[in-house]
Amino acid sequence: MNPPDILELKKIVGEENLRDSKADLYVYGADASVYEGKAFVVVKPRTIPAVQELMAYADKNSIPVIPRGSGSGMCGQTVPVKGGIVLDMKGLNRILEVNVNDAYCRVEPGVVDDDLNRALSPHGFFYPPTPASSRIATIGGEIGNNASGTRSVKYGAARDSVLGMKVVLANGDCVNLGSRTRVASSGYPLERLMIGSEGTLAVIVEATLKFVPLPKFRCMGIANFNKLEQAGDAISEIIASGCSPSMLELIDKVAITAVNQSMNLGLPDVEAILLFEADGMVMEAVDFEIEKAREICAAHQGSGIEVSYDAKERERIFAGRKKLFPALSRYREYLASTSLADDMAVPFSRMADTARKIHETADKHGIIMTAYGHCGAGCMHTKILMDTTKGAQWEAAREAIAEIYEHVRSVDGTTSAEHGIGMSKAPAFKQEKHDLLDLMRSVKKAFDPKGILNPGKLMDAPDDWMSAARLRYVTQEGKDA
Amino acid sequence: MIEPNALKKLGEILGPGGLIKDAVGLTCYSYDAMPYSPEGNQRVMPDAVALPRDADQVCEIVSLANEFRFPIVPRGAGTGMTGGARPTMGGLVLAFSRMNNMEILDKDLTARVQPGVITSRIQQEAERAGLFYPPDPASSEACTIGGNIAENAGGLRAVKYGVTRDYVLGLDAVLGDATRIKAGAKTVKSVAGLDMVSLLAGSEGTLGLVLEAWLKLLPLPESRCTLLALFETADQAASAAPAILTARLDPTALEFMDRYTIECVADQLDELGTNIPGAMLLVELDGGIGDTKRRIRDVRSICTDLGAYNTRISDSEEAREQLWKARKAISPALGKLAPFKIDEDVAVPRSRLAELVRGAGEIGLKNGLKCACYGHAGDGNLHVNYLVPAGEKPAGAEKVARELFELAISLGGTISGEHGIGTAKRMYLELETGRAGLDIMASVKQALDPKGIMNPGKLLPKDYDTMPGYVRKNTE
Ligand SMILES: Cc1cc2nc3c(=O)[nH]c(=O)nc-3n(C[C@H](O)[C@H](O)[C@H](O)COP(=O)(O)OP(=O)(O)OC[C@H]3O[C@@H](n4cnc5c(N)ncnc54)[C@H](O)[C@@H]3O)c2cc1C
Ligand SMILES: Cc1cc2nc3c(=O)[nH]c(=O)nc-3n(C[C@H](O)[C@H](O)[C@H](O)COP(=O)(O)OP(=O)(O)OC[C@H]3O[C@@H](n4cnc5c(N)ncnc54)[C@H](O)[C@@H]3O)c2cc1C
Repeated sequence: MNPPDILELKKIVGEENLRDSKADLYVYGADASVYEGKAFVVVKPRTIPAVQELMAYADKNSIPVIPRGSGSGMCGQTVPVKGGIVLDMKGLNRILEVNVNDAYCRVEPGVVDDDLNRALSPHGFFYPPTPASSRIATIGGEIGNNASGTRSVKYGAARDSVLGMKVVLANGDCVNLGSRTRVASSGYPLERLMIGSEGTLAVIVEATLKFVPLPKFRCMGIANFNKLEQAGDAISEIIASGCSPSMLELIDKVAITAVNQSMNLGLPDVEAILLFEADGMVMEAVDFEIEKAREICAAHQGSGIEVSYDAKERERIFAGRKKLFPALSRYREYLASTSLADDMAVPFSRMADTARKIHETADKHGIIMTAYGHCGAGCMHTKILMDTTKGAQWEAAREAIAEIYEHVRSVDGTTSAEHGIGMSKAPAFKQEKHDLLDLMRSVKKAFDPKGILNPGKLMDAPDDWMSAARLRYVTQEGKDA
Repeated sequence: MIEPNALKKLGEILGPGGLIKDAVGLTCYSYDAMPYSPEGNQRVMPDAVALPRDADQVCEIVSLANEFRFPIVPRGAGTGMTGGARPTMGGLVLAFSRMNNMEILDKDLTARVQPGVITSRIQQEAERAGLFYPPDPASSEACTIGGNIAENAGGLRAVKYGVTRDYVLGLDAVLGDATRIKAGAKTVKSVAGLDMVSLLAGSEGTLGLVLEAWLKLLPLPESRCTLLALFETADQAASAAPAILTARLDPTALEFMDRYTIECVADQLDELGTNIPGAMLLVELDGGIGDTKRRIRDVRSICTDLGAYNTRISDSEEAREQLWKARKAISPALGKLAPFKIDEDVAVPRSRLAELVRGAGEIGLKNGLKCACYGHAGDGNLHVNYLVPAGEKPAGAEKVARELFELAISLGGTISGEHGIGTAKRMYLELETGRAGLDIMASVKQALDPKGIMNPGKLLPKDYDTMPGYVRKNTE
């Protein structure tokens, strides 16, 4: 593929919106994954026509384009592996319309999730997919990854909140997909294909999103379980009972240890902790659901059960979960928390045995792995804690990951619950979807005949994640060599 | 025409009784529930009708169609309103009526269904297991899940629970190029790369055939409660609908009916007495018992505040069912009244519903046609029927339809809320998508169905038609 002509690009986006200093290319070369790469140039278009012109130029000259929000993806989605242009979409960051009567809004893709929610909350609404990274995650990136978060068990993922969008195709055409209405069956639902496509099909330049009323009441509860399986049974039963929790989180032993070591919360030494929340407009309805969840937890030997409506108390109960991510980096001094096999999903009836399998497999290979997550949606977060300076640990991770994903497939699970595929999860993804890859490639080709959009990702990523791109970590062996 | 050689092979694949070739049989499969429409009224006989028993037979047939180049026209129950199941140039109708097994997996809150299963059966079997399959098209007693998925059918409960696509977790399908795929996941959350399930749901049988689906089920709500509210004018009722939604009363169904519509089914609504109202709303709520009771009273007071002169709350199963039966009888009743009705399904953002109702009426007036409107007000989804007097043919139908679609689009809406495009609306799709939008849809179709055998003549406009190597059957 070809390098772009900087002068030409400056003409299209304006000189002030183009960067190619070493420092800039370094920053835009990485995301929250284990990888790094190098773009040729970073551009930040401020208008839709600029995006159109840019795409037409790139298409004509076969130059790779990598759409990017905040680059908080964990699987290498925005790492440039074939050079080209990083398209920083944060230049398009206006909230265009908040339509309270029809409960939808129109936003540009660079709007940050928290900013959108700040704009909605005075109207009494919220936009629910909200990943834990909502402080930086952009709407474009959330759609690109089909992101979701703690409340998705009740309110769904990005997929469930997108009504329509405006996209710029590889050839520079701008088209409207989907609608502003709640129902539509007019032509192929191509907006659906965009969700989770990780920047490989087209560039999103506007999105129409639905939002929902902020509940008047929220009540949160916690229960400790000596055995993972007890927590697992409680999860299945809560889901099947008809109460619809707005949050249902599993914290596993590794995560409990991590939190206890980095913060003085004094979580009990058990195999699993469940956090559950119910929300609603009517207190009795919330009571009803919380009581049901509490009863079910108790029936499965849950102990130390507490529930509270009070905002401060809820914050206290949730503190451990909230700080989990940074806590994992402090698990042990020489261990780094890496985004490898970072998330997956299994049917909720298989959460417990999958968590156990993950711990056992990690043990066997001499690494540490978490298995916490949004269990109400069957989602597991499985960070790998390892000594990244040792080549042998990377090999161990490689083997452990392969075994774990084999288990996940054997219980009808799936490679990624919410973080996406990028490059690090591509091998497992390609095994899981082996019979769909050709189809996905031909759809990709229909959108992007020259293959300029985010090349080398998803179904087109290499079969080995370790050599897919340069790793950001330096191993001892690597240094010596 | 399908070559004799291919017909012979079809017979072998399908076995005795699996292939229909006689004139009466073919006639039965040459139409669907599409009312009069500007395009696609000519009746075209299929060359043959296949009644496959299993997925393998279907796959073999699709391979054969690729080899011998003949069109495949998938068909569920033929209740589609836009001509999706009608042959446009002959070919093979592939009817799924014999592929109708299903299984409820109550532990995982899912159902596995073959495409020919009737929608109401899924609802009933789920209910027997204490579960709930929410999509409820008014045609639920007749339509099939395959047809629902292909049209992305909506229905009465879409306002709270969404449309068919929201319940399809996974699909077993065969694409136009004869590749068989299993797409989707059994988990609630999944990022699966390109979302093929969602693409197939709503593709009207033009990309591939649904062979089996895994559906998401929900726990059955504890109680349900229905309110009937009568208004003097359509405007009042159409304005009350969004007010109920903004008050966050979370209706399960929110249906609007205007005067003509009510007239058609008045004999089934004891509540009305002799006085036909200008419009009415039917509102259903579900949830915990105490909670539904309280919310339904709030709904009632909104309706009363906005002009309802009479309201009735029904919580007995019988009374509720009677109301919904009347609602589901509207479309056939209107059809009896005016066999040549121009029946269009449009949707707008729900706050624009009153404007849509008003505008639709004006278009009728201007063109000298009686206009009957009803629909899923909670979704801003309106069925607009222009009634052509019995014995007359609908001259100017094309103009009337176009005016209505332009109105819907100008209100921020869509030319099809839930009935799809089929042959009936394909000449208007460009109004909504623009040329570039059609082009990209056509490239996707080309990618999945390179020989163009899947349901040709549907969804994309005429100038995208390709079915090389197949000699069209004469129309009759
Ligand atoms: C600490 C931390 C916690 C996280 N927690 C969660 C979580 O709870 N749930 C979750 O789902 N994820 C989580 N993530 C992952 C990630 O933050 C989210 O997926 C987020 O939505 C990515 O947003 P972004 O703006 O950073 O997108 P980027 O990483 O910049 O992009 C993501 C993908 O979308 C594409 N893209 C971006 N913008 C566009 C556009 N305009 N048009 C077309 N394609 C585009 C990119 O090419 C890329 O493939 C977490 C990440 C971190 C670092
Ligand atoms: C009285 C009445 C009320 C209605 N109410 C509603 C309503 O409330 N909401 C609503 O959305 N619709 C409604 N409809 C329209 C219609 O019932 C729906 O579109 C329904 O989904 C069609 O199902 P079917 O089995 O009859 O499909 P058909 O009409 O046989 O086919 C519909 C389309 O699906 C394709 N198809 C069928 N099976 C398959 C398969 N296995 N694989 C691939 N493609 C396939 C066909 O080719 C065709 O394009 C109503 C219709 C009537 C007559």
